[in-house]
Amino acid sequence: MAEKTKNKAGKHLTDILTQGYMDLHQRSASGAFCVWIAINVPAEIFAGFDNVTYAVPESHAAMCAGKGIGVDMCKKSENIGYSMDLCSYARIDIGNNTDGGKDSPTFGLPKPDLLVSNNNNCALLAKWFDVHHRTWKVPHYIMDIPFCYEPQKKKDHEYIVQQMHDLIRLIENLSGQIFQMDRFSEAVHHSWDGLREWKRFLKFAEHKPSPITAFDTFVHMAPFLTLRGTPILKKHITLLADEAEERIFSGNFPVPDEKFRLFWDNIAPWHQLRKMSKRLATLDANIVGASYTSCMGTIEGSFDLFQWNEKNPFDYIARTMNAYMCPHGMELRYQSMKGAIENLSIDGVIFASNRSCKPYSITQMDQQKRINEQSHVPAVMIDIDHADARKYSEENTFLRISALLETIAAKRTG
Amino acid sequence: MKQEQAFSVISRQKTAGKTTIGCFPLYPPLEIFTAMGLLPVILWNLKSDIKNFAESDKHIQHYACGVVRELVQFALSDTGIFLDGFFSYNACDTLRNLPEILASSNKDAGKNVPMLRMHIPQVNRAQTVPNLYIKNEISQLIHDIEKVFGVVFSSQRFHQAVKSYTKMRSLCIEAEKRVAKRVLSFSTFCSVVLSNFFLPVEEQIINLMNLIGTAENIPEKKGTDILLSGIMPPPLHVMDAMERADLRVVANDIASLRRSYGYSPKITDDPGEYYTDYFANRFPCSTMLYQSDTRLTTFLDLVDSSGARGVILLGQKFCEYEYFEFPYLKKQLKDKGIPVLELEFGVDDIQNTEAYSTRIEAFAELLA
Repeated sequence: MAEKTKNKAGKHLTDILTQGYMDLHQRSASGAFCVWIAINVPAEIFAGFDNVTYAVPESHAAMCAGKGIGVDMCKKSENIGYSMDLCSYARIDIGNNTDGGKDSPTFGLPKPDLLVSNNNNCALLAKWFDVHHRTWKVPHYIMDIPFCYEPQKKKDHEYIVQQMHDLIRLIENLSGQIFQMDRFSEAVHHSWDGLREWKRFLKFAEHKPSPITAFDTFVHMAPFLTLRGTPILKKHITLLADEAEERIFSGNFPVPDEKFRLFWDNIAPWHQLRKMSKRLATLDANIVGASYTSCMGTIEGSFDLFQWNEKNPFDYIARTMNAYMCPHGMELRYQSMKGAIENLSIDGVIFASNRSCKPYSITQMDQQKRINEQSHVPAVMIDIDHADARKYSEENTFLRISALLETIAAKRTG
Repeated sequence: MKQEQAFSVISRQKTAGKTTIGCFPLYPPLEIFTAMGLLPVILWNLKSDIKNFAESDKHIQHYACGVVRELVQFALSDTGIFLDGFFSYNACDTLRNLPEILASSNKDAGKNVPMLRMHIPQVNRAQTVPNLYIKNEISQLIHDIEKVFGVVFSSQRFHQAVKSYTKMRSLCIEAEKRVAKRVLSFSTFCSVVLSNFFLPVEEQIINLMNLIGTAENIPEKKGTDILLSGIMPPPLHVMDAMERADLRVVANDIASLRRSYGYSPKITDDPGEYYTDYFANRFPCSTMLYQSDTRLTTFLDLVDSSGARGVILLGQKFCEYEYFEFPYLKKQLKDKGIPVLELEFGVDDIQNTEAYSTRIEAFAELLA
């Protein structure tokens, strides 16, 4: 394995995320209207106002887990009565609020003026944000996104657009600021630019060996959550993609002797990224793609970039509301994964059954069967929790992954 | 009183020539199905039919709640053979996956069981008005039922169905009052109401009238007044333990009980109007995201108005909707000086029965 040092994109990521959280705190302290949002909420809307800023508790929770303090944060919420069976992001976030973000790497999040959740990536987000709604006594807007078992229907699309307008009106009333369409449109263009670069970056995984790993995609998706609608997003993802391209020319690959190309289904186990990627590399295995990070900028049923005609930004945003975390039906998810398996020459699939994410996990047993039987690709299911390391066993996981690799090897020798 | 098994009830209906639609979760538009000559059965509280989880375990991880695992097991094993179709609406993160799991499994087994769906808007009505969307969903559902089952909708029959369900719900409330007076046991009440989930509404009315009749002229019994809250009533052995401990259920905030029959909309022959009213004003439930504010105030008002001296929270293991609210509810009750007992039930709650009994006895002593 090539020695991992922090590359330019890695350093840039640290800089922009740090600066992003500093700006968030500073602007909020200076009187900006602060909104806490779920990851699927179209943050570009906030750029349409003079002085509205936003925070993403899920992203903050993932960061805490990645920094190794997820379990301690979870315990804080468990100590005030929240069940250990609840999503670990929620437990981290609620725990973080018990002491004003005392242990948070970002000093927590500034007090919200409004909460906006949505129920398509998961419905429990609404219940989780209700906890804050009761604590902070601020309004909570639930974006109700009908679940897609089939491609999004016109009636649902119109319903989502209606809600975006209602949300804008609510913010205008609460903040006293006027929404400016041109600024919103500009922000959507920034996100669109970033997404095009993101797809360029992901496509390099088709190269053998791959210059990227799914772990890179997990780490570098953060700006799509916290810096959505900004020009920094495009700048960062361009740097990332350029670096990946450069690695192909220089022959500097993360798993140089790449024998097994794997695909990951579910959210990342943030507490294991470094350990898992290192150990996989020793087995000459590379997880080259992940459904979690491939679905950004897409619509249900394909990981291809959804092509925007750059006209009505409301239409575009409403159409891509199923883009984060693949929140759509089993058949559509299979179609997306099937395409990725073919495009990325995948040898095997790891279904990460995630105790903290039922919407992502509950169809996986059927999906695994389908991948085996219809795509003829070996697959394995491992047990993880995206942010609570207590619910993860490295040895059990690698026992199953090793078995998967053996199956792939045996299949090759016929 | 032991609840009759869902399978035997449904099979009797099937023998009588009924086309049965398995519905989940708890608040489907029953009146529409009934008006169109179909029998909607709510696939809930199926534990007594479940011998193992062999079929469910092929599809559902162990960290899904018992309600879902039982539902899948029931629907995909021999007990599900009399279901002619399924209806579902958007609910929790686990249940929303079931339509495709059931459809694909039935397809693999060579069975074409129709799946009907609708989306119930979850927006806060003060922020977004979803009336047109609801009316469209209801129209589409009626259209789909007509197309799939070859039946025809009639406003007149809908009006009649609405009247019947309104009567059924008012009888549930009447029966509940008798439970509160302890002239009717809570377990008998639950048994009748939950068995009704699998019966035509006319039979439900008869059963409830008979139930109420058995409770006439019986002197009121005293006990320590408690309120139960949760997704499901507790298992029979736990209800028995409550009876033995002289606990009197003066009110309930249970999803399959009060939250199901607690509100009847204005009688009309217009399904769009009817369900717009129903979903806007129904008795609040933790599973309806837009009702979170009214749910908490309604719950606390119910505690006050019932005069309950204690509350038992009946946790359904892995039910996020309920568990996100428990800490807040407990704090509010503590501030009111009302003791709370939190019990948790799962697929294995038939075990450790003594542990439940001991906790209930201790709670009763505390209240006494």
